[in-house]
Amino acid sequence: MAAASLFHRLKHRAAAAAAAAFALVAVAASPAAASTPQPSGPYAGMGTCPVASPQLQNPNNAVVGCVVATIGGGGFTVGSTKVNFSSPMTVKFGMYWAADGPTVTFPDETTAALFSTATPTDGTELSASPLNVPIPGLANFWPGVTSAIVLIEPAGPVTAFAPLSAGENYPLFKLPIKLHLLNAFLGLNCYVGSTSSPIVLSPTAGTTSPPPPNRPATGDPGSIAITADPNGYGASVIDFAGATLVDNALSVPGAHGCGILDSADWIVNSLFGVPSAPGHNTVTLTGVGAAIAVDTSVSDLTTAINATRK
Amino acid sequence: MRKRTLAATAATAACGLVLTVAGQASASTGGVLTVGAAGSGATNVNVGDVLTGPISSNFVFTTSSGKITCTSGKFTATDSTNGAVGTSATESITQLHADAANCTTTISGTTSVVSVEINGTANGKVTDGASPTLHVTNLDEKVTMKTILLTNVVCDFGVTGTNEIDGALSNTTNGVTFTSQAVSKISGSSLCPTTGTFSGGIAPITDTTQSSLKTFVN
Repeated sequence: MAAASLFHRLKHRAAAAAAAAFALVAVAASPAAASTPQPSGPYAGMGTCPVASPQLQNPNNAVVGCVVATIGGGGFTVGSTKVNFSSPMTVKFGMYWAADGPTVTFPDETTAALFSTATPTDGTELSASPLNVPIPGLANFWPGVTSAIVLIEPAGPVTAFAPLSAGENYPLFKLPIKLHLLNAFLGLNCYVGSTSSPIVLSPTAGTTSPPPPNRPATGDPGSIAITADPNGYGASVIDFAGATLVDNALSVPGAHGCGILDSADWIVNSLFGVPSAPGHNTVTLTGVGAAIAVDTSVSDLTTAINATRK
Repeated sequence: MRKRTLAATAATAACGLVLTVAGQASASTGGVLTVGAAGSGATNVNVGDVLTGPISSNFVFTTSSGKITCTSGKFTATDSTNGAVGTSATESITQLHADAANCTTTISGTTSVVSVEINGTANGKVTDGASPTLHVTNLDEKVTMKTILLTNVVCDFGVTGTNEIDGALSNTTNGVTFTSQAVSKISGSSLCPTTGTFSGGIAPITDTTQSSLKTFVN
């Protein structure tokens, strides 16, 4: 009788937690309503570019831009867990670089500017659908209970964005993320990675140099095309398509906030094999495309984007 | 005393031999490359002579994403061999320079040309006959361009392995003309076009070692 009652309570608790998890996922995944005409053509998707932000408006900027990138697929291997990305992800941000800003010079003497970035006006830098990650050793018949729903969340702005490093053995950007694990028994604050200790993705379209046991992996810069603004403004749009990015030198911290008073952290760490040192983890991003609108004048870029709003 | 005489004789003979060889070299004729005039009686280009010439018709590198055009520059090569007419001459090409200030680019994503220089040395082989030709192999031309992101991109274009670009030699212009010769990207950013064609002319080519006389092919 007591056991039945306990099972009944647990079942209700699990159902409530799973429902809460899915509600959270639904809120996180729902798109923002479009209330104003949106940029079109080469600037499609750039309606939330922070062109009015103090960062992009800084008169010391030599180049400013807006970025919309999509990641078609891929996956990650963290410790003992392997997960495929089941649906596309989108990354949006503004970018800026002062004339005396940081650069990197490659062995072939090509120089790439390292851009700083600014968060989009809606605050949504990274949009990713939730992942249903099976719990090792459990048959996954009840998502959110016998699996973990994992949300990939940004843990800080994109840094060191180097679009012209495509094809070089150098990361295209650094993206700090944290994995939000949602499960009936883990609560709503279970994370791997945090804002202060994130998982930093540093993917390259070139070849990686990971510590062992991982071996060097090579990405693919895909194709690149550059078009001038269709209305004669000074902006240009750099389009990358079909790229594959790899990072197998990243580290992954342990879990925190899982269960009551973090009591389940050790279970998550044990089940998923975290924390995991560099050389044991891999992130592969496939079908990567990006539209990067650039201009030497933020006012010209703003006008160019607005001219395509429909 | 006898030893000293022998030594002196040997030294004199050696000097005479050196002078004779040098004299023959400067006055030899009948080579594939000559200076001043063409023909069997003309003076040969000597091994080690430095040959140079300016761009006489625009260097144009054409690709699917635009082209680079240069209107002035310089070619320099050092003669390595100069066989008898009917064979070939070879040279080491040490300079294929374009003046960046006189270059323009329409390659996507680039705004100006920073420099155009040969990377290392290329091999040149001159064949004579009815259609005298300069065959260039191992060519790596390094082109640095300013991008729309205000940084530089470096693209190396040329030919590797057994591939070559061929230029028509002319005794009328004393130069060489390349017409739509296929070249490809050897290294560089993904911004660099992967293939293209090269056209351009260099004339007159002179032998700076021999009073800058114009060179001829026989």
